Amino acid sequence: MSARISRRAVLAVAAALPLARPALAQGRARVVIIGGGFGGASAARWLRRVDPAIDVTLVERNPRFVTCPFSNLMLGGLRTMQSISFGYDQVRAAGVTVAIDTAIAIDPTARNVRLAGGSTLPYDRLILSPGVQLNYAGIAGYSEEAAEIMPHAWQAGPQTELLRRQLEAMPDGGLVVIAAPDNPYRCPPGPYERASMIAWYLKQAKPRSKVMILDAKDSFSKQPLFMEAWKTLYPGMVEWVSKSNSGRVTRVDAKSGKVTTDFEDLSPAVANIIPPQRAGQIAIALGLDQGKGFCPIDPVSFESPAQRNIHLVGDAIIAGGMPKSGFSANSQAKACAHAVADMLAGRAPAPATLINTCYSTAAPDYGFSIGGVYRPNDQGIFAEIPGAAGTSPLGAPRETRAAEAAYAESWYSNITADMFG
Amino acid sequence: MTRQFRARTGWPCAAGFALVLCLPTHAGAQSLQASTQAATFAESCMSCHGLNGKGQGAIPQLAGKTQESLQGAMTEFASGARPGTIMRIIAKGYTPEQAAALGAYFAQVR
Ligand SMILES: Cc1cc2nc3c(=O)[nH]c(=O)nc-3n(C[C@H](O)[C@H](O)[C@H](O)COP(=O)(O)OP(=O)(O)OC[C@H]3O[C@@H](n4cnc5c(N)ncnc54)[C@H](O)[C@@H]3O)c2cc1C
Repeated sequence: MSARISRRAVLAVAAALPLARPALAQGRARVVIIGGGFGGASAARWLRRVDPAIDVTLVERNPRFVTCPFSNLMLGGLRTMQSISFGYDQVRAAGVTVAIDTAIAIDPTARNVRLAGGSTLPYDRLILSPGVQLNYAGIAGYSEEAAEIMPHAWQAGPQTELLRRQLEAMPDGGLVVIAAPDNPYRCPPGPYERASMIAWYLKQAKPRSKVMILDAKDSFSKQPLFMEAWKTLYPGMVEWVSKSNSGRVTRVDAKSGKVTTDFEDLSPAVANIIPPQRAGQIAIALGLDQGKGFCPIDPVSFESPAQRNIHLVGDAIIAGGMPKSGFSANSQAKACAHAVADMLAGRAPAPATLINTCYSTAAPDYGFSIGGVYRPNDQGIFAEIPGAAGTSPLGAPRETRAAEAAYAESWYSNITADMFG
Repeated sequence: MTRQFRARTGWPCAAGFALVLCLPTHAGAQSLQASTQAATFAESCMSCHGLNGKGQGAIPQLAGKTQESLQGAMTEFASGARPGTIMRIIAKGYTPEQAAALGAYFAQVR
């Protein structure tokens, strides 16, 4: 019975909508997805489940994806690289065509994507989840080459391994500097979780060492919880210097190893420089950011107001209250998969309720979280549902912190299984 | 092929969930919208609780619990009556009707 209602519903909605249905007229609808990370891999697998009749191709530069989530735990010695790296076999097994290649150009009029390898992929609708690119020019003296000496480790992989090797090589009593960027950037609590994980490693291996966070802002995500954790776990080891206290890094010199703020020159043993960021280049090249650095979207359809038939999810978008997290990207990707399937079938997409939860691990048995529930609002962005946003409480018992560290592990297993099988 | 037929093949539980939310509505278009929306509610839960609510590790599985216990947990997390961590925040984002529908969805996953 429900199937009959549903068939009528489809016809009713389709008749009421002026949406184009080129895909249905020509056979199987084709969706191309660029970026096989949190947004893109999720979108690919979920689109196949929402509508197995859609032909889905995922374009990803690298044959294996290293997750930024838990890369800080790798720096702390709690995880191996192997345990945070994933291949695309189960994405293929879901019926997705995976092209390990780089998308170099999009033709929005002809509706196709050109790949570095020479092929051209036609699409009915395109989903972009290219993540962020680093804006090296945001810090004088910093560059892709300088990052080989002063790693950002903000795109997980070789950069993460380089930073870990530097931590292993530094002397006891040395200084680790983390330069944290101004908002908006990927993973607002990330630099502070990183400081905690580096302190965890140093506390066992090099207990006379220090971690100093030089910040381009005056407050940060879960700040009271991080401050409490540092006081409890790493007294005297972690120092945070706010922008108002001249914390902003204005210049680096990779040759001499110097890190400069408005106030002083430092010569740390290890310099982790996290520069400002913007949407991945493939989105910027097409002007999808409309000059803003990140891309506006319609929060119901995830379609770009700059180009029809192109949808965006993940770090590359302006998502209102939703932070740039892997969880947000995964949640957006699922809603986007429904929207794209609906639009290909000539139906209007419905607004979705999205979730974000970010765990931070300060020690193996010490975790805490921030989370929220979001809906599109009348300003066309995602807004928190009133009351449904917040963090773990301050002063919670150690059992609660231990429970949240275990939840973080569980979350990681479950979300990576959602994306990569 | 209708959406719900596809949902039934791709996602064994989606059809039942859609039905729950469809009952109070009369217009076909509205129930379709409700079902699409309903599916995304449950899918967001899966980022922590695992595909179909059958995750690994410390985060509780939702699959196969009774609707009453799942709905009750959401209500108590939202009111603060039940101790918890992130669910005390997340539960506040759902209306009682949505919590009931989520309970019904995960209750019938085998
Ligand atoms: C240290 C750190 C810790 C973090 N911890 C957490 C956490 O605990 N929880 C959490 O939820 N989030 C966390 N994050 C944030 C999370 O990593 C990002 O929000 C998430 O990766 C965003 O997903 P995305 O799909 O937008 O980008 P990505 O996951 O980066 O995926 C983008 C993909 O697109 C590919 N790509 C880009 N351009 C092209 C092209 N032209 N052709 C082909 N492929 C292309 C890239 O190779 C990449 O694989 C953390 C981030 C950092 C840096």
